[in-house]
Amino acid sequence: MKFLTVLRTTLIVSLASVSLLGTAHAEDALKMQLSANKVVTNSEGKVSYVPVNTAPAGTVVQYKATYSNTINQDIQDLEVVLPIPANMTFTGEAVPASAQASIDNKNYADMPLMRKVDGKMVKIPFSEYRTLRWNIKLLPANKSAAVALNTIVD
Amino acid sequence: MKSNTFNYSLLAVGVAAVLGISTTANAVETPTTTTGVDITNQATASYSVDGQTQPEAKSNVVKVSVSQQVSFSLTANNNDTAQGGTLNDDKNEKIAVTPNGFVLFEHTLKNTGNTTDTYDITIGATDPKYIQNESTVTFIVYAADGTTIVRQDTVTYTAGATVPSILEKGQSVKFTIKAKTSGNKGNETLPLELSVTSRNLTQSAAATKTLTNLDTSFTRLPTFGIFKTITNGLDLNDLTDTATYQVVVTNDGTLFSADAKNITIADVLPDGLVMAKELTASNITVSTGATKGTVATGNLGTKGFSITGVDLPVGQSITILFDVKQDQTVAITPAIAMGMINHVTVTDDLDEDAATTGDIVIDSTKSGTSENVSTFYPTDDVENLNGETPANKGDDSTVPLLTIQRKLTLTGPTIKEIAPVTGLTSTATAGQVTHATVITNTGKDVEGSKPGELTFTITDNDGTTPDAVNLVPGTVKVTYNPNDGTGVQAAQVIGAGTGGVYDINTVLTAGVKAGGTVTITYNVSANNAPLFNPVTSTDDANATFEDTIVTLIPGKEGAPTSTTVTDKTTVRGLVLVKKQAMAADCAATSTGIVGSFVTTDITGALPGECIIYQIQARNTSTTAAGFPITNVTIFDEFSKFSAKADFVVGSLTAINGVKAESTTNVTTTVATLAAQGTTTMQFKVKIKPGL
Repeated sequence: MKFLTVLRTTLIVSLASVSLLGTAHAEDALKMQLSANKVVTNSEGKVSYVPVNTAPAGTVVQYKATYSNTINQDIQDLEVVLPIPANMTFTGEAVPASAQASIDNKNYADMPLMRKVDGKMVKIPFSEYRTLRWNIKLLPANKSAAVALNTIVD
Repeated sequence: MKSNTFNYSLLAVGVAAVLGISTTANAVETPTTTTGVDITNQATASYSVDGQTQPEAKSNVVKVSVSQQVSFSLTANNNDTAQGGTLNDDKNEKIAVTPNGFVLFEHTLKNTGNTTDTYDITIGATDPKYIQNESTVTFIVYAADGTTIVRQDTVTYTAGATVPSILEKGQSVKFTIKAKTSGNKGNETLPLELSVTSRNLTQSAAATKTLTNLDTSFTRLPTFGIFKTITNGLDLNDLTDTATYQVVVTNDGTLFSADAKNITIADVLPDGLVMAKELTASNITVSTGATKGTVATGNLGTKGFSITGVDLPVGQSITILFDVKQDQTVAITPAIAMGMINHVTVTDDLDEDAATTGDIVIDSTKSGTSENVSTFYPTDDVENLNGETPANKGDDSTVPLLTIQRKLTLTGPTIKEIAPVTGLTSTATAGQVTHATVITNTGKDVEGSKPGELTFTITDNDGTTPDAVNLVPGTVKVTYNPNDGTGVQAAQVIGAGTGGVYDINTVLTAGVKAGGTVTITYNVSANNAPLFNPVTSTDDANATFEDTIVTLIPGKEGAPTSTTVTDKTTVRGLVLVKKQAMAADCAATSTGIVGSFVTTDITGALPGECIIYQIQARNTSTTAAGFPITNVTIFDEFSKFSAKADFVVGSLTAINGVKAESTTNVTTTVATLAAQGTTTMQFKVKIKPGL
């Protein structure tokens, strides 16, 4: 068989992380900074996060949202929502792992998401996940925390 | 939720009629095109302070510029190498299809880029002989691993419809077009085109956005040649006789040939005939790769047979031998038999699928009725009804019932007369007589075309030991007159075989045609044969004779009884009778006698008296069959009687002869003595004194 199809495509991802600090308002008690980093795992299994401008197809990119309480009062009932961009697929890794997921940006449930197919409950593929959400009861005054999710470039 | 369903509900979208076909080779994969896409992301958060809900917080926007590479392949996957094609190129070439059957075209579309793409698949219909509403397209989408099935379905074939399909990178879709044909005949090529367009490439400046595959079907089917002959005719003189038919069905090789599988061969006997024996597998022989199938019907006494499940690869054949006999419901004559044609039918469901209609080939030696090869073959076949060898592939031949009604006559007993002495060999034939007997073929079959079929003997009535009258060895000849306008053929010497049997086939290998004659001639010789029996007789009624019996001995099937002819050879020749009588006086010129001429002794004669001798020579042969005798001389010497009598000079007379006296004898000569002719000589002698 003459197989002419040669996968010679490389995916180059230009990763431009633009950090924009939210405009400070007197009433802005919460500030968030979003970053994207390439997840690199060496031969010993050690994981590091490297800002990159380009990456081949299949590159695992971690989106990390760092949020800070900038006032002297506690913040309650914090819900952080982090989308999974188009052309990227959630890998299933979320930090913290208590995140809930949604496939319609409206309804959230604990992971893994399930649905009924032919009378049986089956897992919904990660490729259909669209957003993750973290529910944080209390962020003390002047404290910071972070959430993250990993995606892979389609 | 991402939608990557092969959404055939969008069939109505983008209908594009395909009006032409490119015959040039197309690429099976597009060049890789690089396109850019920006992926942005932004986190949001809601929260409360002192129980008061605060405005939603938004993070900075993160933008990822992705450089996408777009390409795809479209391959034709039927194995068409046997037709000169290349596997997995852009063509499915000459994929076999039966008339009115289905052809399967297999293709694979693969996303060889690094991003999800939507493909518009356009199914062309470039030949109206593809029937859309009976055709389908089955697709299976595989994951990048090539084995995991992502989704699959079967949709209706719609010519010119554009079907979108979303494939993630590495995914592929294998789809099979099951196209129904209609009205296609053998050797026809029907094209069908398939094209796929990438939406990602459509949005780019890429030169190649569409790939096209060209499918062609090629209509194939077996071409049956049916050849029926009779190897053994039916003897009409024998109601129990059987005839043997031979049926040979061949899958003739053609430009559009195909193996035949599971065909049915049926034979229906004409009225008046039934199976003489049960048809079994032992009656069937096949060539390499062919199968005998199963005898479904064909018992003794039935009106034919049926054989099912016969496989005939291209070029192979099946031969069936079966016997029939009269059922006596029809008084078969040779004329009626000419109209009794036994037909054979071959039936083949071309795709072995009973659900497919219009694809059952029925070939028969009989035109019309159910035969339908003209629907399937490029040109109709020819049905020969007189046993001719088919001229072209697919032509058929059968033959009327061959009957045997042998009739022979043997005529012409001959009566010949022979001289007592003749030549005795085939090279010394002087005086030999030739008998002739005629064999006439008054039947309708050729006689003597096989050894032993037409023989004869020639025997003496007194045995075979040579005697005075004999058949001359080496003189037996046969002269053939076909009586067909070609004239009489030259006589041929025929030799006797074992037991003195002459076989016509040894000299006339093609036999004697109906209406033809063979004249048998042979010579008879005489070897000092006596004229009479007893030898002292002079009565023609006692002539010596020899009977020669010619016996015609037909052999083989349907042979008439033997007949004979008796030829007669009578020995004829010159008989000489001498008589005497007392003369009335001794005058030389007087011819008066006392009493009459006798062959017995005369007593009381006195010296000085005269006696008249009468000598008669007679040709005993008959005017009907006799022969002349030449140079006859009656001769009498005086010395025979001069001691006691004296010749009376001048007393010699002759009837039918030339007389002559000398001092020592008298003679009478005749140049030619015809059959039954006589010559008589008389002369007078005087008894000497003193006796």
